[in-house]
Formats: sequence, C-alpha cells, structure tokens
Amino acid sequence: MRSFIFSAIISLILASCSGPADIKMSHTLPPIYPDYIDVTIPVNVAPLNFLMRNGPDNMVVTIKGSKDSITIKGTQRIEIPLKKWKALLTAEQGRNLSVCVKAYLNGEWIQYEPFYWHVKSDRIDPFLSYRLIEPGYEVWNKVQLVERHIESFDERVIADNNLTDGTCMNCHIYGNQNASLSMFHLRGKNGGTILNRYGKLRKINTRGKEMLSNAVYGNFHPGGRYAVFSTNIIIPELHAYRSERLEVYDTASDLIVIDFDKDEVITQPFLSDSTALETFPVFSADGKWIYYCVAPAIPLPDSIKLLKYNICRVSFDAENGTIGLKADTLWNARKMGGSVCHLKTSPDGKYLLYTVADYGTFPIWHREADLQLMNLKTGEIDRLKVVNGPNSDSYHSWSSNSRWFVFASKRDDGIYGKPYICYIDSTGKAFKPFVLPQRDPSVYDNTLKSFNIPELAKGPTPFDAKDIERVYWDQEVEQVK
Amino acid sequence: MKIFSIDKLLSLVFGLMVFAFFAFLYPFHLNYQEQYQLFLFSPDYFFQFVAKPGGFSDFTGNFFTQFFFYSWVGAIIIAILFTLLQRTIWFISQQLGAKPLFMPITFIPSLLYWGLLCDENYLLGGVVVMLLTAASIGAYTLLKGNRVRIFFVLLLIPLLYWLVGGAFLLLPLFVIIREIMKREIKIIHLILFTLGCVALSFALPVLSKTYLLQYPMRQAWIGVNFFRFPVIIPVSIGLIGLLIVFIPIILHFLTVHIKKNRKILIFVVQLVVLLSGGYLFIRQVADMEKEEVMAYDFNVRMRKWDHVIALADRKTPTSPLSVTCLNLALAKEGLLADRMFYYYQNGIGGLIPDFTRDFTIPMMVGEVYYHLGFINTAQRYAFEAMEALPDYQKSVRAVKRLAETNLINGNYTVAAKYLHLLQKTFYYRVWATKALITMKDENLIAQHPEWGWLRQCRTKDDFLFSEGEKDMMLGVLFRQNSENRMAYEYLMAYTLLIKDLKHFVQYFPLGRTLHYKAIPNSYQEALMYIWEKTNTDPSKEILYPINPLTKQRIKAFERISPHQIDPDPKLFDAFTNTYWYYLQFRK
Repeated sequence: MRSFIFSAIISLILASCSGPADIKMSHTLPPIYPDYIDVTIPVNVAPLNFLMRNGPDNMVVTIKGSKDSITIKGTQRIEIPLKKWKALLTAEQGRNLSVCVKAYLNGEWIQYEPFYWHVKSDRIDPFLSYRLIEPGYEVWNKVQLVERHIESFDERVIADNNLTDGTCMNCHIYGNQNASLSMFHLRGKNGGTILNRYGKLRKINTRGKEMLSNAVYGNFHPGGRYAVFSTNIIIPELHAYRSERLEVYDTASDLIVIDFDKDEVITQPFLSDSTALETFPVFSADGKWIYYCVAPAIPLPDSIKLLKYNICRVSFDAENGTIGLKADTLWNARKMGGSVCHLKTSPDGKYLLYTVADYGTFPIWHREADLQLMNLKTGEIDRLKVVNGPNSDSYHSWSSNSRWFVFASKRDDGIYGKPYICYIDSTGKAFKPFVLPQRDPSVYDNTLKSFNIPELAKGPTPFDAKDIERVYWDQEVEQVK
Repeated sequence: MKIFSIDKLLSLVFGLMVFAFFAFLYPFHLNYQEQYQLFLFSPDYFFQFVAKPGGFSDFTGNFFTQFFFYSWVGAIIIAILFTLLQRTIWFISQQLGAKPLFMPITFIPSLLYWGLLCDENYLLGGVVVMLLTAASIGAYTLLKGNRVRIFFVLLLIPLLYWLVGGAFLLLPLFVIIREIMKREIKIIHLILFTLGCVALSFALPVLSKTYLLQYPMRQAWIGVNFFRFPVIIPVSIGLIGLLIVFIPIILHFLTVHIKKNRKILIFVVQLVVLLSGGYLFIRQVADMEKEEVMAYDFNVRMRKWDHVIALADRKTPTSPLSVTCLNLALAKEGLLADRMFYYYQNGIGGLIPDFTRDFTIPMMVGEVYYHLGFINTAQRYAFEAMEALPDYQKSVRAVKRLAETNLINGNYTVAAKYLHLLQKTFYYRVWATKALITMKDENLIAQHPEWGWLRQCRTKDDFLFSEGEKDMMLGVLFRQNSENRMAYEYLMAYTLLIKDLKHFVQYFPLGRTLHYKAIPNSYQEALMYIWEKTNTDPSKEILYPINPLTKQRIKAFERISPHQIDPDPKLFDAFTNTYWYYLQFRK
C-alpha cells in the first residue's frame, strides 16, 4: 500500500512537470504582453513575467536553457520565481533561453511556437530612477521620483510631492551613473535644484543674474564639479488635431555651466543671445565638449513646424572653467530633415544617442519621434529601426558599461510612457528592446502614470523622500552667482 | 404610551428628515460628490487605501459615495449612517446610565455632520470615522472586567488608528474619563494605563510616519480625508468627535442631577430647540445656489437637455456656469439662436468660460467643447480637472470622458485602458462593456449618434488651440464641417455676446449651409438693430426676411431706449428677452 501511494505521488509529480497531454500545436507566437518575444536581456534583470492577451483558463510556461529549465503555471499570467530565475540566467549567460507557452483555451490545450530570450553577460546598471506622473497637460497632481531595483521588483520613493507641499518636481538625473552624484529640480516656494553630491544634499537657486529662468535641462560633467544646463522660457500649447496632444516650445533659451564648488554661473555670449535657441546640453564622456541642441529663433508658435534643432558642440576647459568660443555642427537639421533633442553621450565616448522628431523641442508628444545613434568617431548614424516603435521614443540613459540603454517609449498606446531596455553590442549593433519587467505584468495596463525620464545608476541613491521633505522645508537655499 | 418609548421613533423621524433633505432638496450635491471619485472593485484599489492609517474609512466612504449616482440611494445611505451614529451615541449614553429624557441631545453630532455634508467638499469617509469610533467606544462600554477593558482598549487603539486615523484619540480620551468616573481601577493602574494610552497615541502616528509611510506628519496624524483639500485641518470635525465623547458623559451627569418632575418640559424644550435650531442651522449652511449650478451640470452630464431648459424656465439662471449649461442645452436642442436672449446672459463667461486650474469649471466647460467637436480640448479639460482634484482621487466622469475622446480620436488602446477601468465600477460597467464592443467596429462608431457625429466635427487640419481667440477657433471648427450647426451658433453667439456686430454681420452668411427655415430670432434682432443704425433711407427695406413683429418691436424699443441712461425696468418688461436689451443694458 505504501509503495502504491509513493508511486502515485511520483506519477503525479511527473505528470505535472511534463505538462498537459493532448496538445494542439499552433504555428503562431503566443499573444503575450509585454512583448518579450525574442528579446535580448541582461544577466541581472528581474524575471520577465508576462500575461496572455487571449484570456486562457490556464497556462504553462517552460523556460529552457542548455542545462536547466523552469516551468511555471498560471491562469492568465505567470510569475517566475526570482531565485530560480537568477540561477537560470547566471547559468545561461551568453546563451539563449527558449520559452514554450501552452495555454488552455476554449476547452483545449494549445502549444504556441517557442520564442527566445538571449541572455547577455554584460550587466545593466542595477538601479533605475524615473518620475511617476500622469501624462497631463499643465496641471499636475501626485508626482513621485522612484528608484527601482532592476534585479528585483523592489521600488523606493526618493521624492514625493505629497511631502513637499504638492510642488512639481522635475526628473532626477545622475552623473556618470553614480548614485552619489545626482540632482533634480524641486519647484515651489521652498524649492531649488536638489544636488546630491557624494551623499550631501544641497538646495540651490540656479537662477543667476540676467538668466532667462532657473536651470532646466542639465547634465553633470564627468568630474562632478560642473553641470551644464539650459535655461528656457517654456510655452505649452494644445494641438486641435486628432491624436496630436501638446506642443511645448521655448520662446527663448540659453546655455550655462554651473560650477558647484564656487556656485558660479559660466556662460559664453554666443550661447546666451536671442538669435538662437539652445537646449538639452550634455558633456562628452571625457568632459572636454558640450554637446547641445540649437535652432535659430523664429516667430512662434506660427512657425512651429519650421522649428528644427541641430546638434552642435563647443569645447569646455574644466581646469579653468571656460566654454569655447566656437561651435561645430554635428547634425544639420535642415539637411537631415528633423529636429533633435535629448542628447546623451555613451560613457565609453563612442556614441551619441538622441531623439529626432519632425520639428520642435518636445518629442514626448510627437508620435514620429525616434531614437538615433551617432558614432562620434565616424559620424555614422544608425536610425535604430529595430529599437524604435510606432509612437514616441524619447528620453534615454546609458548603462555605465555602454552596453545597455533605457529609454521612455509610448509605443503601447501613445500616451503612457514606459521604460524600455535595449542592448547594444561592442560593434554598435542594437537589439530589440523590452519593457522593464514588473512582478504583475498587468501593472502597465492598469496604471495611469507615465514613467518619465528613466535614468540608470550603479547603486541606490543615498537619500529618500523624507530627506527631500527635510531639505524642502528646513534647509536654506543657496544662491548661484 | 410612555413618552420615553419613542426614542426609536425619533431616530426614525430624524433618518427620514435626512433622507428627505438629500433626496428632494439637495440631491445634486450627492451627484456632484459621486463624479469626483473612481471606486473600483479591485484588490489593488482596496490595498491602496488600507495601506495607510484611516484609509479604510476613506475606502468605505468612497464605497458608499459611488451609490450617489442615484441621489435617492445616496440619501438613504446618509440617513442610515447619521441615524446609526445617533443610535450609537445613545447606546453609549445608556451604558453610562443616561435616561431617555435626554435622548434628543444625542442627535447633535449627526445634525452637525449633516450640516458639514451640505458643503460639497466634506467627504463621506469622515462619517464612517465617527461611526467606527463611536462603535469602538460602545464596544468598550459593554466590557465588565477591569483587565479585559484595559487590554481591549490597548489592543484596539492601534487597530482603530489604522481604521480611522487620528480620530482614534477619542477612544483613549473617553476611556480615561470613564475610568476616572468609575473608580474601579486602582489609581496607580489608572495612571499607568493613562500613560500607556498617551504613549501609544503619540507613538502610532510617529511610527507610521517613520517606518511605513511617505506622508507628511499632518497626514499621519489625521489620516482620513475628511475634506477634499487635505491641507485644511477640519476643526469642525474635531468638535463633532469631541461631542461623541462628551455627550454620553454630560448626559450621565444630567441624569444624576435633573429633578424628575420636570421631565416632560425638559424633553419638549430639547425637541423644540433641536428642531428649530436644526432647521435654522441646515438652512444657514445649505448652499442652494451651488445646488442649482450642480443641477444644471448634472443634467448636462446626463444629456438631459430638456431638463436643463425646464430648470431655466422655472428660474432664470444667473451664475456663469448655469448659463453655460443652459446655452449648451439650448444649442443641443437647436434653440440657441432663437432663444438664448430669452434668458439672462452674462457674456462669454456664460458661453465658454475660460480655463481655470480647478476640478469643477474645466469639467463643466469641457462638456461644451466636447459637444462642439473640440475633442482634444475636451480631453484636456477632463484630464486637467481630474489632475486638479486635491485629494488625489480619480474622477469617474473624467475617465469616462477620456474614454470617449480617445475612442472618437481612434486611440483605441488608450480608450480600452480607461474602459477596462470603468468595467471595475458598479454603475459604469455596462456602459464600458458596450463601448468596448462598439470600439471593435468602425461602422458602429460611425453609426453612434454622438461619437459618429463628433468624429465628423473634428478638425481636419492641425492648429494650436488658442483659448484667447475662441471666435477664431469656432470659425475654424465650423469651416472644417459646415454642417456643424452648434459651432456656427456658438460663433454667432460669441459675437453677439461681446457685442461685436461687425463680425456678426461678417459671419452671418456662413450659416447658409445650415438651411435654416427662418432666420433665428436673435439674429433677426441683431440684423434689425444694425439696419436701424446704418440705414439712412427710410424707403428702403432690409434685405433679410425679418419677421414683421420684430420690425415693430424694434421701433417700440427705440422709442424708449435712447435717452435712458438708468432706465426704469418696467419700461423694458416687454424687451428683456431681446438682443437689443442685452446690447443696450447688459454690461
């Protein structure tokens, strides 16, 4: 009797491992969401949980590597066990995982065509910060800066406007993907630019004399002493046509560098006159250049569709804190037929990643906005066809090893932005991106928030929302000169 | 029948009065409340609330508020909650030995909260807080053993904090007073217990702020959204809470000290004071002007255009938002051009008010843009109204509108996102499911009486919407679809309301494509006015087919109007419904 029970248990276990019998083979790929079909993933990413769009009663997913496999059961979605997933990815780095989906639908089991996950041993920086905000127009409600651990599903709020008098806060950016060097602008009467420099939090009023506005779009110098910013007079307008949404443009914009050691503003007359609109400046990986977008000033909004930004660069001397006198044009908007924003140099100095829209300076509401990659040595441009989606693909951030970048994409619905992760190999070839995995994949269906300005970092930021609350209410603002 | 056996009857009468007030006199305040939340039957929604102190009460308040879609259901809910609150206070009072003689006093907290709910920004979660707190106190009064009571309270305090937020303080306050009165616990134990309660009471909000929540300290203390604007500390709520604690104690002392032979007099005096005071209080706090605006808005939201016009026929609206609703209803019924000046008009503010960063005006004005065919502007207004909600809730009305605008614009993925949310609601589930089915078939959308038409009204060219140039926007919209009668009539109304007769004359011929059977009244009046002012040859007749009566009336009007700087209104009784009157006398 005992041996019979033992045999029965063993048989049951074996039956459950081998999956359902009487399976109908389908020659289509499974209708899964998010689209994780044949994507390239880093060895240290959290499980790629997904759901089935065709609403099966049950599903069985087998993720198979060369040595081991995981089988997960679910109803309409699966949640892959984190420990097993990590072990599998570690064992299979550099190889492919096949994913076999079987679904019980309309009274029968269907096995779909398998797809693959290509596991890269190049690690992605494990922390990602983004701003969670409703993709609105001019009024904001709850705004949070959140830090997500990419290797798990842990999330931490690092700033929350509920604690800061409901004030608006702009997106959090890192210097050199270093969590100890970061900043964001906190608006409101007690606000300022919150500078996290090696663990010390400062609140700085970045508006010096004769500046158009406070600092807006910025980027750290690799040395951490300087940051380059644009100052902008920003005007939002509403499109009347179909699915067009907002047009946000600058009626004036300049470029400045702030020396955080001296709290001084450095500028150059040709970067702060009214004949041109300069914006989205970044330093090169070696800190010797400032790349920025620039367009000639034209009557706005009447000529909005003629507003096209070029990519230029100007030298920067970090030792003396001076900006060069002459700019070079790297990307000519007139010739290329578009308008550039969101420049980001790769940490290895090889590439410049940027967003191109038909016109203007606010690509997040431009459906045609796509990413492009410029090889800074050869000037070659890759239009990243495999990366770009049907809707806006815009803000991006590199991983410190230059093998991965994350970018905000509205490809799913045109409104709600999500962080997508993309691999670039050593030759500069880009691979199909995938959305940041979530413990519950239906999060993206249900959330009314956009994930804005995703930024990768090597470690966790040394502050949290309560620190920001304290800085906002109690810390004196420091004024730049 | 003994007089004091009527306590249940009094509670019933009170409940019926509350019901009657909210069901028949104040129903639109309840509809107003319902639209500014999105109660979802989903685990995520529940956990999002219960993850913070007081969230359970907010959740329960929202659960009840969703039923305010039908105001009579809302009135029943409020009546039951207030009656339960009164009955619980009465129960506590009885436990403390209060005699039925003073029962009317137990109505005061419910009566005061009734007054608070007359303000549309007080939320129902607060009533749940009072009820749960009172129930906790009531449960405490049932316990006999000293140790049992003490441990019960010490265990209940953290739970109550989580359920009702800062109002949990009322429990230890009551308990300490009660135990001092009872003198059943040794003084040293009582002191220790008091210290324990005080320590716990301070520790809970501080601990929750430190370890659990990213909320301001103020919110950790208060917890519940009693008021739609969380920054406002509800002192009045605190006073009502204190009454829950002190009324039973006061009744205890009154019972002990009042002489028996004045029972009936005391009871009658209490009832009279309560009734007359309650009447005056509710009359004072009820804002019937807002109720009127809300009535207009609700009927617009429900597309009950005839109801809107009927409201105006009963009493001419004067507030810009009511007039906005009326003009929209007139336009939807095809009466705007004929009858808009039959009613009071207050300029552009009553046609298309300007955008403001709040949650009420954009919601109402968005209706105008939506029905005109400015789908993107309507979408923006719905979005902004929802974002402007100070208590961080979502608005079911705004989400529904966003689903519609995205559906009309062909953004089916986004529309589906909103519709799936609405499928998790009680009242909008069926509508959302139908919309999802319609969305799958372009023909069904085209045949839809509203969406199909609005799709045709949308602009075919892109331009940046300029709120400061509404007439230009209306002109562009009409040019895109020359059958959009509402756009034309709004354009004409715009010129008439700003008294821009030059542009009125310029735009008037555009209406040719609409094939009016006769020139609408207000246009006839404007045309006649212009003719009278510009024609120098008495032998000439105006070229437009003007009603002879209108011709006669303008002559009569002109006879009395030119020399009247501050006219006697009686003289113009016959003309207040004309454009000439508006032109001459409305500022």
